[in-house]
Amino acid sequence: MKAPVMTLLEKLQAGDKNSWKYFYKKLFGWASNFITANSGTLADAEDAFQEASIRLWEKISAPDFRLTTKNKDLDPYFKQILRNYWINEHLRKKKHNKTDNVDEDQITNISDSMDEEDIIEKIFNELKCDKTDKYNCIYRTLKKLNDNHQYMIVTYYLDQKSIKEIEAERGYNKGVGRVTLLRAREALKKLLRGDNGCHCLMA
Amino acid sequence: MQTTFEYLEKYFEGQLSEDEVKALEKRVQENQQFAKDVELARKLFMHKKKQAIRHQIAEVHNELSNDGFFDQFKEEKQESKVILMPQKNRRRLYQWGMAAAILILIAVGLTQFLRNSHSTGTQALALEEFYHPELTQIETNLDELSASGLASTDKTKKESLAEGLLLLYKDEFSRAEAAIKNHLNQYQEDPVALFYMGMCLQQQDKYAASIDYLRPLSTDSSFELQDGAAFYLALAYLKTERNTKEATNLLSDLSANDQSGFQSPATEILDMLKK
Repeated sequence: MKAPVMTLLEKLQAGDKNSWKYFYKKLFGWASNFITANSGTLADAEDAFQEASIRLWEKISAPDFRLTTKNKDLDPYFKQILRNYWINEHLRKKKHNKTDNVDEDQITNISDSMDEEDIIEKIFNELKCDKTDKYNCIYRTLKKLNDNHQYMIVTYYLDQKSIKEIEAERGYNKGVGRVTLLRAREALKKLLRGDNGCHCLMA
Repeated sequence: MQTTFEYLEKYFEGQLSEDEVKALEKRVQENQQFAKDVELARKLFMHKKKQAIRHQIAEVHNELSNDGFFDQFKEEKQESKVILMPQKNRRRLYQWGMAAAILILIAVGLTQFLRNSHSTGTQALALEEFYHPELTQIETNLDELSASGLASTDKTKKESLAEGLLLLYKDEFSRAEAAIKNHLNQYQEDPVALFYMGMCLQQQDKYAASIDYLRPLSTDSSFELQDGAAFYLALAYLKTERNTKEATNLLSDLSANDQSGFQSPATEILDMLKK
């Protein structure tokens, strides 16, 4: 009796296009209603659905993932992910839109959002080699970084932890995390462009 | 031993031979630095897969967009604006909400019921898709219901029931059961609450207990949700295998009733029972 949902889950996990289409058709109506009833637009709903879908994929692809909803139903699980995403996103937008009473936290958040661009993707766009080679390049280069810089790049860009979380984890004072991250990025770029860097890096 | 990303990627994908896996895992155990490198490669591997999924989802999104899939939601939103009513019409909205909530339970309950009854995956999936349009409409109405509030003439009574219904909607079934029970302590004869108590119990697989709540409602022609009570009573009979004959009778009545919103699911279940 659990086979259908598990099959869908496995297909989503494997990136099966038809299953993702089915998933869209099944749940986008709900998402659209939820977002538009909560100060969003249809375009917001489309963005939120895409983002929540990626988060769902991340969750279901984790090795220790266990679906604990009633009858192993994926829908409530996805809905919760989207609700959480929208609430957080909405609050973040709201906070950024307030131009008066700007406080230090706000400045930190705005600075953080500037770093949200995926550095791996950014480097990818500069590399001319094929996809696997690109990962080989980055893998080789990341290994050459010192522990602290490697930790910053991996934790921020791959584990997607916030600067605040990293600072708490490492026992850094406020602001140190951001500075360390900037230095780590510079170090990574320098290594990629160096003699032992990636052969396919654009000049 | 190779330690390129490409090689480790094969390891994560399960494409290495048994001997290669053993050798690699032995090295991971013995060499802390190598273990760190493998972990780094694993994170990059997940990143690569995530990017692939991101592109895949974006592609799906674009294809649906080109097919005009998202246009229907623009229209639906316009329609829902028309539904927003002044205070005097909120009682009607409340009733719509009740009806809508029933439909959500049909969609959820029936799908679950059918899943339990049939092991073939494609069949259950197809049914899920079949009930999707109802689900969309229900959620629209429930959003409006909560946005407008349930309060009108009998504010306390409706708020008390609304608490239970919202918990039910959020899939918090045991809390919903307690809230509806609390409501029923004050309003013992409230048929809507009795109905949802039945639904709530069924959501927790307490089919036998739900029968006592639904049976009197299924024969009460003055009760607006009589059909729903009959439908879910039939499901409870089938699940508990207590009174399959009566279940068939109830479903046959619903199936023969053109005016019933339960005609289609009742007919489908009868067809499945015949197979």
